[in-house]
Amino acid sequence: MAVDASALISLDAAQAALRGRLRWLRLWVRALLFVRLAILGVAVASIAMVLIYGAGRLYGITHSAQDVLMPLALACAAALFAALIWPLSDRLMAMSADRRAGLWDRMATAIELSAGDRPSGMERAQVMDAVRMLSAIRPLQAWPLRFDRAAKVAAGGLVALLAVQLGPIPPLLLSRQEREERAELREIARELEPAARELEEEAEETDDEEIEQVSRELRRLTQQLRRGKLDKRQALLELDDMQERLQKLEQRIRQPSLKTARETARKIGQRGRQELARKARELAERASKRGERELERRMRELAEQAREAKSAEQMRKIGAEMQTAAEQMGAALSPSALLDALSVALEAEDWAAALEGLEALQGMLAGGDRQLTEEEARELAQRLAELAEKLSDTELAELAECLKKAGECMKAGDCKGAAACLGRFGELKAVEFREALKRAGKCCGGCCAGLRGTCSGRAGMGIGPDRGSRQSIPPGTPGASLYAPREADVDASPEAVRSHVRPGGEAYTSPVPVRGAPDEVAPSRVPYYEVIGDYSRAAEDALEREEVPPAYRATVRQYFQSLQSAEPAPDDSAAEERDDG
Amino acid sequence: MAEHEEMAQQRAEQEAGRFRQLVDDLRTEVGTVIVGLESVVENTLIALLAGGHVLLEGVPGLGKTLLVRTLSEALDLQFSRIQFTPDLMPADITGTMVLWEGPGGEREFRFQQGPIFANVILADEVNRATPKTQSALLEAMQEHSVSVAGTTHELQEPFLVFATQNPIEMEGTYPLPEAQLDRFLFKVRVQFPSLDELHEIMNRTTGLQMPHARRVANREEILSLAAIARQVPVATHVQQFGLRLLLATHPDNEEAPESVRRFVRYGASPRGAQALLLSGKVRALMDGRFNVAVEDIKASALPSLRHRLVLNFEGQAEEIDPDDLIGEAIEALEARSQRDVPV
Repeated sequence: MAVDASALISLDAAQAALRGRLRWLRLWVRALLFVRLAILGVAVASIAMVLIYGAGRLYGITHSAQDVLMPLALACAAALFAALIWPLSDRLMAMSADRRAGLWDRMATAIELSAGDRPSGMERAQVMDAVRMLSAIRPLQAWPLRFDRAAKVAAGGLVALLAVQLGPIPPLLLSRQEREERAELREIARELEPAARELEEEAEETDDEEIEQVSRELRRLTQQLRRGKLDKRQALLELDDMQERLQKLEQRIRQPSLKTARETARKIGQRGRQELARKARELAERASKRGERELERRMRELAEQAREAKSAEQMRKIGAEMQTAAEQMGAALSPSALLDALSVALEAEDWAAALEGLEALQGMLAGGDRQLTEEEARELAQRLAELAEKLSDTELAELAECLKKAGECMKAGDCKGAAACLGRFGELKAVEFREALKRAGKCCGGCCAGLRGTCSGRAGMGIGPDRGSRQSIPPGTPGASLYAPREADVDASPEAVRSHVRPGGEAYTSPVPVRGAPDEVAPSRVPYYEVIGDYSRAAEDALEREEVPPAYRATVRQYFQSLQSAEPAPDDSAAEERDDG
Repeated sequence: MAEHEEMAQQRAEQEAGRFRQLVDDLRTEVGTVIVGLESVVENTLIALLAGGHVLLEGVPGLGKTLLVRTLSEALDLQFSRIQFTPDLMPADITGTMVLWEGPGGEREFRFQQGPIFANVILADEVNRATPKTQSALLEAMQEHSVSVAGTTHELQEPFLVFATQNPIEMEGTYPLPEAQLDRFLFKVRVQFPSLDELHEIMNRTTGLQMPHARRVANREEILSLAAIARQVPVATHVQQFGLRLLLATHPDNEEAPESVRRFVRYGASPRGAQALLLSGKVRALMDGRFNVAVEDIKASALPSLRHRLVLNFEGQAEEIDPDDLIGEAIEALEARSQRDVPV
């Protein structure tokens, strides 16, 4: 700020210029004061946080970025407040300027003389001299921005804070077990890295926000694991959550559009109509060979009707008439005709008919009126596999799974096993499919209403009430509560052990805290005969590999023994399940 | 009114300019004769313009007498040299009443002025005279007047006493009493010249022609400049620093450093503070400023205060240098006076 020329003539102007210049200098000094105090505050806060948060990390307590930024922001705010209220009188500023700019007490003397009433000639000359000198002062030279020891301490504190927040815990501070656990987690991180990279690439290709977010979090988790920032418990929790997210994401990615599902259903229905028409033509040819012209004509009509059937009801009627005709000719209609009706029911989204078709097929396989021939069984197996394959990429993936298993059973000649597999598909999944189609605006209200309230079997398996995959349990399927602490008469902490298998085939376990008692909201239920063998084997393997912590081994053994010894009767279990529903 | 004040301001600025010019001229002229001794010349000029007396302390042959003589030559002032010896009587300095016989045979006592009736007095080896003779100088130095036979004779201004003493050869000397030492504005120590300065001294003094100083100012101008110097304003904190420094030389003062408490019996008198401020004013003008700075006070502290400290037995036994005590007092004061913004 240059001094006005009039200030060098008029004493009043000189005094005003003097004080005005001092105001500017005071502003600069306050800014510097803020910087200095902020540095001091950041130094103190960062050192305190390093001590507190560092100690916390050793005990597994992590702090978010907000926990770090908030104290630093408070320190800066306090510094700003202190800088604003710091007493900086004219006299103090003048003395400081004298000292720092080498003014030889010109400013302080001038400030003092300015307060006098009638300055002498020498005193006026002094004030003018001070004003002239003051105009030459450069604030940055008089009060330079210096970074002294406090700045170094603050920088060091921040670096240490970053290290505490982001860096790994030095191995020296870890027990041997913790070091091994972290090495194991680093190995997991190494294995996860390709998946993370793949997901990143997919996110870039698809420009999908959710994939990008999951990819980012997976990358972060991988880094944290690699750097040893998480202890085993935290890591397993994070891995569990990430696994769930990845599964959901995978389901969403693989889920075709409803249009595709409907196209699949149309193809299935077309195939069903063609098959039934083919069977009708076969019966017509058989009737022709027997010379039964009327029956031949009727079968050909039925073949035409089958090709144009619109509903499962029509298909069933055609099938029933064909069955009667076949019996008249001493033959039998292939059981795959039931699948033809089921196919048309799926195409028409007639879930009641579809379920009826399934139940009819299940009933026939579970102990029908006649024994299937080998050819019929093979044909049925082929049709089941074909149907399963077509449905595998649709919302009815679980139905497809059931059909696939049933087909495999049929291929092996196990009709009862096939019936049991078909029974796995319950109304719940049908309802879900119905809801999915309803969202697409294609589902009629009538068919939804027809199914409403008929859901009876919520099934799930896993540790808690909301964890694990949900599966339908058909009525009458025996089931038992799994992982129910009340049934397992042990005194265990609310923590469960989950087993995993790594890509190399190596199994490992992880403790997972139970989020609420398993039977508080809804009991977790699953047919135990399907899983108990796998679970027992996995548990025994884990016990043999000494991967289950010693404190849990007795509990695990006792638990499975209690399950086997408390095996309920199938009828009782079914009744219990119906009550639950 | 405003015009009058502006004129006063301009006049002050002009006088200050003239002050600096004269000092520069004096320094130049003295420099033509005196080699080196910059600080001695500086302090001598300051004492001259502050109207104070100077005690020059140094071994013989360092140019003390030459300095004073050269100064008086450059100033066109009446110069008088008194060689102090043990048998020197007070009347030999001040003058005495002598019987005067007129042309008609009438007789009367008339006052015969002594060598002290001059503007610049060189009291050479002042510590060799007896205390009685030394005390004859006392009134003259303080009152600028001489009383003989009940009559007071005013001395012409400026009246400056430059006394010299030899710090080494103390046998047969009479150290100046504290009261008399206190009359001196400065006690200046004359250091031995360096090799280069000695070369220059040899070159100047062993040739055919001896250098002489030109007259650059007269008595009136000196008085005028001394009056200008007294107008220089002193800020409160600067004056306070000088006074605190003075008090810090007193062993019973709370701001006195430990060394002062231990080795000093009596601190400097108020005349010390006057010396600090007066010399500070002259220094400020010589430096082109219109105000006294703390640095001026600090620069004047040693010559102004060193002869005013009375050491105790322990201090004398330990041969403590008063300069060290004053330096420590300044450091202690500065440490306490570092009032600044913490940036």
